[in-house]
Formats: sequence, C-alpha cells, structure tokens
Amino acid sequence: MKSIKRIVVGIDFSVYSPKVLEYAVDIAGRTSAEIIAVNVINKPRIEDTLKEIHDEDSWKQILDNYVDDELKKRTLKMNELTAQWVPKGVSLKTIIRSGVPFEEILKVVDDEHSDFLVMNSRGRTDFQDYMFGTTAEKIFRYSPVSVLSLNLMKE
Amino acid sequence: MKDIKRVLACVDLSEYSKMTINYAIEVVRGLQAEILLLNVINQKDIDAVEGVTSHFPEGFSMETYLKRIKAERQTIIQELLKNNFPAEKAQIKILIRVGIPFDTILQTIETEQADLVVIASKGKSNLIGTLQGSNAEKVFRRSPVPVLSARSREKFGQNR
Repeated sequence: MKSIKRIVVGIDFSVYSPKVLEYAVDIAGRTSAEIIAVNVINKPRIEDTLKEIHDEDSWKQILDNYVDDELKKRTLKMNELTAQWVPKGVSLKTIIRSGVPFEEILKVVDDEHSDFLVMNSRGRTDFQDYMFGTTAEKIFRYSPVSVLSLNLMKE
Repeated sequence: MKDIKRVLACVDLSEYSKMTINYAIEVVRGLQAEILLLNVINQKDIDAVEGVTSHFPEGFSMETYLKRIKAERQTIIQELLKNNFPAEKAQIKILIRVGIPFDTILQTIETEQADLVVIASKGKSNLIGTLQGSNAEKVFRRSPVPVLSARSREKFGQNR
C-alpha cells in the first residue's frame, strides 16, 4: 500500500480556498501527511499589462515593486487562512511564488517531493460559475502525482 | 466539513486499477466509509457483439453472454482484492454495469450517492501512454462531487 505523505494545496484566496484547505487537512490528519499550501502571483499577466502602458525602464521597476508588495500581502493572508483552518497537530509549510500558476504549482510538487495535490476546479477567474478553470485543467493534464479536484460551485 | 461516507472507485481492470483502489482506501483511512468498485462493460463492445451474432450458426443469447462477462469480471476483481487488499476487502462492494463508461460513472455517483470519485488518469484505451483517458477527463469535468485522479510518478511519465 502506498500512502499519502506530502499534500500540495493550491490556494488562490478565492471563495473556495477555505473549503479546499479544510478538505486537504482532513486527509492529512488521517494519513499523517504534511500540508504544503501554495499561492502563485501571476507575474506574466501583470507584466503583459504593464508593457502596454509603460516604457521599458519604468515597467520593470513597477513590476518588481508590485511583486514585492504582493508577496508581503499574501504572506499575511496565507498565515491568516492557515491559522484558521490548519490545526496545530498537522505539519504545515506555506509557499508563495511568482510565475504562471499551473507551472509554479507543479514545480512545487517536484521541489517538495509531493505525492498528492488538492485544488478546486474553479478559482478566482471563474467565468459565469460554469467554466472549468484553465489552471485546474492544466494541472489535471500535466500533474505527475494524483490530483484531487473538489469541483465546488458557488452556493 | 461533511464526512466522506461512500467512495466510488472506477476500475476498468487495466494495470491502473490496483493504484485506483489503493488511493480510494488511503483517502478514507480512519473513516467508516464504504468503497464501491465500479466496472463498466462498454456499450460499444456490446453493440459490436450484437452486430455479428446473426452470423453465429449456433444462435446467441445476449443475456447469457452478459451474465458470463459479469461473472468473469467479478472473479477478476475479487482476486485483485484478495491478493492486494485483504484487510480492506470487507468494506468494498463491487458494482458491474453496462453503458458508456463516463456516463455510467456519472449516473452511479447520483444513484449510489457517492461523496467522492476515484479514477485513474489513464486506463484501457491508453494510447502509447501519453494521452489522458478521455473518460477520466469527462468525469473530471462533469462530476458534481470531488474527483481524485489517481496516478503515480513512475507511470505518468511513461513513454513520453
């Protein structure tokens, strides 16, 4: 029997994030697995927008400042969220990265030798509540480890 | 959070079925949950058989044929459980249905009131080991309950 040891949880601070975390923690608690909560700052998206508006000298500086700022904000948010949903008995690691969300999440899976991934099929950018998230879809396609997708819908 | 009470694990008797059952057991570890193993006899295969039976000189009974297939699969699954999951065998129930696999899986989620579905990311129609199972993808997209797409690092990268 192969057991679950390190669970990567995709957190996008959407309405689904507490439930996703709760579900992952439930499994972690029963299997003695570690939780690795991951959030990704979508840097390429911001970069593209900035390039449209600003010249090269200024957009790079703005981008760096934005990422630094977001990193601080999200670290706080992540700490709040995990403090609320992850009990003391469950071992926890939080990671915030910047890049293309699905790529960074899969990199974390590799870097942390994770063997299990939990996410929701919809996230922040859910289009009219019925479209499948593109990040979720790509993770489903490319993840080398098992993926648990909650398929939660807004109530 | 709502406890998981019933898990539907889809097994197509491919090399991935053992792993699928393994994950179904693992994910409900410590819970009093029931595991339903669903195997679907593909309607396409039945249709194909029906198409040629008129040429059988000895006649043909679809009912007898299905009964035999079901009994065969039941035996294969029971062997698989006996050899690999003897401790968990008691909490596992076997369902064998006829239909279009993804459709039957989605229907069974409703009729059996499953809280979670486990399905391997690839199965029988594993085209040179690179493509995702199309039934798995359809279940993943349409399921009203959480879906666990079971895979392993060793097997996932095969032949890529």
